Amino acid sequence: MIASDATGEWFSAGAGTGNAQTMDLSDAYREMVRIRVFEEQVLRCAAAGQVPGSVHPYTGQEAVAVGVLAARQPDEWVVSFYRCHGHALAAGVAAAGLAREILGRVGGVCGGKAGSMHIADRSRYLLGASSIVAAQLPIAAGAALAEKTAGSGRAVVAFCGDGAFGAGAAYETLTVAAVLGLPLLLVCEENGWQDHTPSDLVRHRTPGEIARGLGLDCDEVDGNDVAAVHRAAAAALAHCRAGRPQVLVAHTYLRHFHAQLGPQPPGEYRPAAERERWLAQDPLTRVEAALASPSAASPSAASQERAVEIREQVTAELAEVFADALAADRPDPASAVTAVTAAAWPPGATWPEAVTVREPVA
Amino acid sequence: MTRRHPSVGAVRGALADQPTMSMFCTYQQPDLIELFGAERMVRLPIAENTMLGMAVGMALLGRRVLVSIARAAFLFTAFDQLVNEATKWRYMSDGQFTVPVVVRGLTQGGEQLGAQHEHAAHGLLSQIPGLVVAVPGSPNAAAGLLRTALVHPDPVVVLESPRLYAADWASLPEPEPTDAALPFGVAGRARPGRDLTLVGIGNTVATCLRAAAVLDRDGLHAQVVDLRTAAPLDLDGVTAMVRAAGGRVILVDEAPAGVSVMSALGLHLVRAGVVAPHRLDLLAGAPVPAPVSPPLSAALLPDEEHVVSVARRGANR
Repeated sequence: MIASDATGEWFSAGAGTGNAQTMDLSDAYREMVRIRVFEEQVLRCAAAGQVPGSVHPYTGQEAVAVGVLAARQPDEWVVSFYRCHGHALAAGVAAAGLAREILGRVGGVCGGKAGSMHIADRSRYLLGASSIVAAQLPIAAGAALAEKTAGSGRAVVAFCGDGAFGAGAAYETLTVAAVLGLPLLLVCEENGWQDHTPSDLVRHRTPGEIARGLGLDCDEVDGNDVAAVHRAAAAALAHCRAGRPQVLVAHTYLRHFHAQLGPQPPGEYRPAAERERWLAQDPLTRVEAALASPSAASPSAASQERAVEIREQVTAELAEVFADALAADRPDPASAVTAVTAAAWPPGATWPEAVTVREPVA
Repeated sequence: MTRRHPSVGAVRGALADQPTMSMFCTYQQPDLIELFGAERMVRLPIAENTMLGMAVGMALLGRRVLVSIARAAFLFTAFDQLVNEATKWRYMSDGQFTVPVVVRGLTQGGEQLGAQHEHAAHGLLSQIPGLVVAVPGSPNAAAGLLRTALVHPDPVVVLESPRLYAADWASLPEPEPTDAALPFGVAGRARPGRDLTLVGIGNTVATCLRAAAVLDRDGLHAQVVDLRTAAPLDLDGVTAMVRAAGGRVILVDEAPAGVSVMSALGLHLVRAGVVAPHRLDLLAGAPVPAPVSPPLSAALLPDEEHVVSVARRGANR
């Protein structure tokens, strides 16, 4: 059950399940703005040739990460995929460590080995992210099986795009999750496109239809409405913790299309009318409207000022984070060979001797 | 009463020692369920990619998983999880996580199951950075390598010949004195000898031991080396053993020769100066899919007579 007060600012989820969660709409707004501004900074860096590798920006989908992760317990694992910056920030990963990782600088949360697409942060229960479509689904199910076997009462939250439902791993994972009663919440960010292909061109069932067809509970929600996402995620997580896996399809849309590799912005294949329709439903604008509505607890003018203030604060904070990151050193090449395995790999190998060229013992 | 296979003790010992360890499989394990409970003996659909992916997820949370994938050939269905996930999440997280997953699968030998069920994949798998590829050459080696695999912090694939589990497994040559744990990346001297060195891995360890027994009757005393693991590859250890036995080496492998474990080893031995290039032979499997009819499959793999004839031919070189 979800309770919300008349202002729409506070939500309490999971009432009666022992898993009460609240989400302050102002806090949610700040988090969403942080993701938006962070991604805009990353794209600026990419355009300037400062990002090694690719960027899959999360702009436009902020309400999904923020709404869902406000409903998890802080020690519930999150499993993500290549569009992971928003999930990482909403999970509590420090912006500085994330920015440095994406820019390939010292102090990156994964030592420069992950880059943009594979962020993991044990301290924030972000298990990792896979850049292979749908590969994170079985991994999340395994994490959920670990929680179930341990009897922890904790759920695992996995994110995917709607393209993942075209892969066999989705069918397999959902089947096993249902059979084993895994505490798994799979959040599908349905943005209508998979890479450069409109999803409806290559499927005849939606993710929700597939999930329900496999006998799973599946809720569908307006993914650009952070309060609605939060309510749905909180309700789904309560079922997950009781051993009933759930699928939550969040309908949303990307502001910046798919991915950018190097300084050239990606091509835009989506119809203009579709883009305009969705951009009018921008999740940030909608929170601003909710915060400013006459029914809100605080006067609307004050709320609007508050929104402006939040944007300014976040923009200043992140400008500093990115300036620091760009000023940071690049990682020591010797660290390239660490963490392949627990011991050195190959055994006895030292940097740089015997790594690039294995000299025989004469 | 027949002796229990040594690998049974290795698996049961690990399950008993590690209460958080699970085993994934697609078939009945009534004895293990009785001993360790159905919750830890997880039955899964025949969906190897998800099976291995779930093992990765469980392992990331600190719970070791032994995946019994039945046939090593089925690992190709799970190749994304092996190549892109199991062996990458430690590195991509810069060591925040570890993936203690062990995959066991049967390779080829005496079953005639054909091209899709039979592979000597150790060379191929040895190209995956960080993946231990254990290839036992005897029943005790299977137990010994499994014992080490089941306490190893990183992913291990154990490629086991069906010959090690055939009805007559107890009559196979057994170079390992016990079923104790065997270290990874340390080749074993399966048989001492001063005239030449035969190097085998998996099925070819028994091939080399049988060939050595024949050569003994000629007065040619062959040392036999069991590589035990294709990765890590014990380049220095084999170099030392070859140096001690005089400079004639025959490398014997069921995997094709190109970019293989044995070709890497041969290059190393030559560069180390312990064998002259003309005194090094490589007998490898043909790069041909496994056919079902026995005369066809036998024509593609090095056997005992082949090793003996090459050894005799080169004896005076």
